[in-house]
Amino acid sequence: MPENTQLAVAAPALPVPDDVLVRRVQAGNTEAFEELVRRYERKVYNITYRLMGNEQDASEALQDAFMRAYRFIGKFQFKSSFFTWLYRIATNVSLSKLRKREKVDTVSIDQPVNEAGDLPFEIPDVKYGPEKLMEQRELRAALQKAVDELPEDYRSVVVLRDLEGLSNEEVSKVLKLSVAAVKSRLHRGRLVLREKLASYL
Amino acid sequence: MKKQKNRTGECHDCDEAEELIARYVGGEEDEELARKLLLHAQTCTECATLLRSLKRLVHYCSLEPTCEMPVTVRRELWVSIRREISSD
Repeated sequence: MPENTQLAVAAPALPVPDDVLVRRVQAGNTEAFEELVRRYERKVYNITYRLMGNEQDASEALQDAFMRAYRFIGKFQFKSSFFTWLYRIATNVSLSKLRKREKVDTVSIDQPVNEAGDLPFEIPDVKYGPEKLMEQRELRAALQKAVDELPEDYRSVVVLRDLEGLSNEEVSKVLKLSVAAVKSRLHRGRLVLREKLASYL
Repeated sequence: MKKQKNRTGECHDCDEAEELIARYVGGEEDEELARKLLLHAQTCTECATLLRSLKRLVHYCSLEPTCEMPVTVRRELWVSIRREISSD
């Protein structure tokens, strides 16, 4: 076996780019769609969970988002990246469900944060005594509750930018807003959160 | 937010300072912006508090761990997807 062939075998396989997978799905390859789901299911769940505020609704929004993505992927024209398109679907599905939920429930739903999945909230330079850990759990729960109570326009921007770590430009593409509008909503949303979380800040 | 004259003359009031705070906390890296903001914050407790609390808020948000997707949620997702694909 020639030496360079050995090297080629040893090299790790590069992941197939999203666009290639999308083209395969458009050509009828359903396994390619499953690969896209595996690639993004956790990230999309994070978005739906942050926007919906509870596991049950987040789960429904997650399923709906991928169902819609599958049904409409044939119309995807590669004008944006696949993840931007998918995040937009997930955000729109979640916000649509929120509007319906708010119409049905006039009283706010104070669903607790999923305690089962709690991980210690890491804040640097703190001692992890029981009191501190309790404080961190409280902060996490308070943060999610405060996000739940944000007006819709602010919530989607805060979730995508501050909790999911997208850039202003990426958020603007997902939400189809100008970067200036993203910045403005983000700041206003942060001001509201600051008020609600004053005792922790 | 109340108006406040700043003796440095660099940042004339708190409305302007808030705009600078929004840009600074929003991740804009600009030495001049940071300098003006610092000068104002040294003479205005209100804006200094706003700056500090927003920075903490963004920091806390950035530390939020990724939500663990429960096994049941994932199972239901895949049941839906396989059903959708097979009905296609």
